[in-house]
Amino acid sequence: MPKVTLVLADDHHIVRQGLRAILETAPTFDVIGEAAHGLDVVPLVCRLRPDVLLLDLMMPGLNGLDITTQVREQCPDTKVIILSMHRDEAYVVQALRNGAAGYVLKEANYADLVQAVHEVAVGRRYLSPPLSEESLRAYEHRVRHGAFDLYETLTAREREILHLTAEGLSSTEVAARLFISSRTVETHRTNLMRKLGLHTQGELIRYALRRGILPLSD
Amino acid sequence: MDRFKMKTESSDRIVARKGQQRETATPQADNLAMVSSTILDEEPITITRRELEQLQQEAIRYRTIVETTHEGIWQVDANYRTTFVNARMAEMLGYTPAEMMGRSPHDFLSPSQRAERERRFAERRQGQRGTFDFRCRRKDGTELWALSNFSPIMSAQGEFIGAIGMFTDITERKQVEAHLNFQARLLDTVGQAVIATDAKGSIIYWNQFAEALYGWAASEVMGRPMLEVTAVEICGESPTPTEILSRVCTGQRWVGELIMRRRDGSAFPALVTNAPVYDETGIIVGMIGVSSDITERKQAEQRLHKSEMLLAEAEKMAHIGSWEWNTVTGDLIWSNEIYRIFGLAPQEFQANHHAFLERVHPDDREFVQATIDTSCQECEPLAYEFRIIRADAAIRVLQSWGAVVFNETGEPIKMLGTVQDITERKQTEQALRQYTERLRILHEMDQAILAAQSPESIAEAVLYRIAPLLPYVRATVALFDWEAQKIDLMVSYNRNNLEIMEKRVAIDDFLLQQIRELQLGKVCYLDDLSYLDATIPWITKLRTQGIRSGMLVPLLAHGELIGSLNLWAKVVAAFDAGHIEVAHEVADSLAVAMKQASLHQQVVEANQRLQSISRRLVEVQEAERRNLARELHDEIGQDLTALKLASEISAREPAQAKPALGQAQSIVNQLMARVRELSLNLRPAMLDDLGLLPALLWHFKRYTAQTHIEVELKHADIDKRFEPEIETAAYRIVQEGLTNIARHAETAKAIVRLWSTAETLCVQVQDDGKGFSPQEVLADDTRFGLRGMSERTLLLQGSLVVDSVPGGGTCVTAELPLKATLIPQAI
Repeated sequence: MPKVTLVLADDHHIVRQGLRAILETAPTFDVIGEAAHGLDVVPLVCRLRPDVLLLDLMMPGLNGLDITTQVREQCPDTKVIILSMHRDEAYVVQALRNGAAGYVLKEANYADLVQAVHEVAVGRRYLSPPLSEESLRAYEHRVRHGAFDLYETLTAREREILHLTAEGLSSTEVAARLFISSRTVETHRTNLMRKLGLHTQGELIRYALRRGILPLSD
Repeated sequence: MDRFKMKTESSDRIVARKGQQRETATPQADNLAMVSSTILDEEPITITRRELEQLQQEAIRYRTIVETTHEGIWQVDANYRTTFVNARMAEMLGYTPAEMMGRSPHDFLSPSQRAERERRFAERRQGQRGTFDFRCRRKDGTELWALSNFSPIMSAQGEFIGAIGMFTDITERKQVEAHLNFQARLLDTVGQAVIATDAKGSIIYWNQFAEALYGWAASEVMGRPMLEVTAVEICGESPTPTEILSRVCTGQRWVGELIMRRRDGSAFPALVTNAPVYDETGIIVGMIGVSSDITERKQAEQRLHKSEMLLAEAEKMAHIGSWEWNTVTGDLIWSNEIYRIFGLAPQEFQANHHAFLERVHPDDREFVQATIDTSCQECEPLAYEFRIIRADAAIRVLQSWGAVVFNETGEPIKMLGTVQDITERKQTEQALRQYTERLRILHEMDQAILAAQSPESIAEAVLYRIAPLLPYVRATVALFDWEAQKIDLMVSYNRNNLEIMEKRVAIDDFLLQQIRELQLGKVCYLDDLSYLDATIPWITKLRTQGIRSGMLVPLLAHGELIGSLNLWAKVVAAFDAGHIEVAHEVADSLAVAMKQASLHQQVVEANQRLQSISRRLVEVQEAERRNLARELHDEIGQDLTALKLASEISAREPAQAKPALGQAQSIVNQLMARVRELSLNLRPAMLDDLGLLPALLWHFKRYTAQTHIEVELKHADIDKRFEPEIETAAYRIVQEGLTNIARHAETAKAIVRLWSTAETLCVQVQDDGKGFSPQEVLADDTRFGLRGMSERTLLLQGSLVVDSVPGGGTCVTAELPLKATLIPQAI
């Protein structure tokens, strides 16, 4: 069984030493290189072409997330394991999105790290506990679930003015209808158009049609 | 005769007379010469007796002729000695022929002529004949003028042997000529052109002045037709020159003005007198004309005419008429302009004093009569103003000046004067006075506005100052509160101590209708309150106070309606167009001043807020440092101490190394967690590493864990990175908003919305909690949450809207422009 070749990337010498000590206790692992600076990692990996890159998330010069992206592009055979002190799903999701194969917390124990290298080397994904695929799915759901319509951000007054303006009333007419000053109407109109990212009366009417504020057929 | 005529320079008539004389004289002389030559020729000849007798008879006849002729005959030899004079010649000179024989004619010449003699004699020697005036001295010393005609006498051989001359006494003629010359010179001294023509109209006399006046020398025009030379032009009603000529030819004189022409073509007006000239027999033989240049007189006349025209024109333009009143006869003369002033056609009727008085305004009639009477009696100048009623019934104000004119004996004979319509001037003066007063008051008002500090004191200053300009008994400044649909009545001016109205009035339908007009910048004029809806409480209240009319004047500051100036009066339709204009002007100043005052107040308040925020920032920073110091010392410091102890134990006592290391590991894990927590509390690294959305999600998790408030995140289009300061601001605003909810809202649920457009990133923190009054909270110096959010937003040139009412939840929305330039922190 061929040995799994490894490159270690962490800006702290003591951390690298500790990692090397832990990994070399396993006979099937072979640490073939180390990098201390973010900008050195990608060239080193491209030269050594290791099976696995153990990469600290917080690297000086270029952070781990960006290094992951570059490594996946330039050296697709190398699997990346992120070492991080952040247990937050957001980091994990971002790391996986950038192409990392494993996410290991720095507080994890020896067995956890070895298992991660094994799993990743054979092409599986590994997340150290308490991270799990479910928690990631829950996070993703939370993010997606939050999407909403900008219309909701309008105040009641702004919605009234949007409707009346879309119907073709002038500021003065709207002001007369709502018993407010035409200057106030202008302000509201400017605000609501900015909120909706609209710039012209034409865009406003198209928006109103799309939203169903104005009926398509008269 | 032709030759003679060429030699003379006298007039034709004189020439004609000479010609007649010479016609008879010349053949005589020729014959005589021939005879003389026959006699003097002493060649021996043979003749018969009969021939001799015939010759003797012939000689007797010639001698008789010679001795009896009226002409003098004088013969000299080649040596210029007298060889013969006839009796007539001797008689002319007062001598006997014997006394003259053998003497030289030189002896008889006038001294002035002697020089000529040699030359003339030389001419004779050369065989020439000569005719000249011979000026001699008689024996008695008097002068004799003779016309002489000398012929040389030549021998058969052609030798000069003497000369014979015929003499005619012309002394008398010379004297006449001298007299005529004197007369001619006399005419030359006349300062008018004197021109004489013959019966045919040809010029025969042209004096020196005529030369100067017409530019023609007498020699140039002599004999030419006068009409051709003077090129008379027909002017006006004058008869044609031909007519004048024919009139003169019938013996009439003609005096008149003609336009004459000079040699250089220029024309001039001339006063001309033409008269016929008669000869002794009474036949018209010519015409004499005297002309003088009247250009200056003409110009003077024209100037006079022009100044009269100008006077009339000036009267018309200045609306000044002039009058003349004969106090003796009572005749009154009005210039055209006076008729116009009275609305009549010029000279429509014969003006008289009675007709004048009739047109004077009845109220002024007595005064006018008295004034005129006084002036006449006292002989004092007249100056007064009065009103008239014009033909078209219009009342006009006139001003009249007059002066009494006296005769040589000092009695008043008439009054002269002018009258002017000063109605417009009076009106203008009145308007100007009003306008000046208005300006003064408005200026005072502006000064008062400047001195005033608050909107209230501005309104007060204005309402009390403008009272003299507008007929109101009550005035109010009303400010509109659009959101609350209320009107705040700021200040009331009460002329009659009327009951004070409420300070805050709800906007009813009637007011809304008025406000719509005001928004268009129009004044709402309520000219009679009794026609208005009696069910509206405030109208009823005004009516019970006796208010009958009023107007609401818009307070427009830079086009924005901020309120109205309300003026009330106790009479119906108290305000006219002028009042509305003044009210508009006042309202404009007032609106801008009030707007500025409120802006000023806002600035002052903002400054105060900023100061307290600065203080608060320092406090927060200190508090944070205190926390951090305590955390490092109390917590992390403790852990590190424990770790040090554990490692010392494991080194010193190998037996206890294993449990000590196990303890150390757990301390390290605790330490790592603490440090991470501390770091995240200060600033989540996630915000920099992953952006706003993950950082907020992380924060919500912790927030919910700590507060048990569920946070619902809604977002649109924020799955991207923004500028760090914008992400930070958004994060902190949400953080602060959630903290506020946890502290005050008393709710279990919060909604956070995040969305971005091309220009802005917006965050909104909403709850359905108990709500609050944003004005009160923002004004409270001790509460910093909202103000901190607001300042953070303003720093990025964004805006923060706090939407909350007590009991109605809260919604805080911040909009952060993406392309904002940061406000420089320090210069």
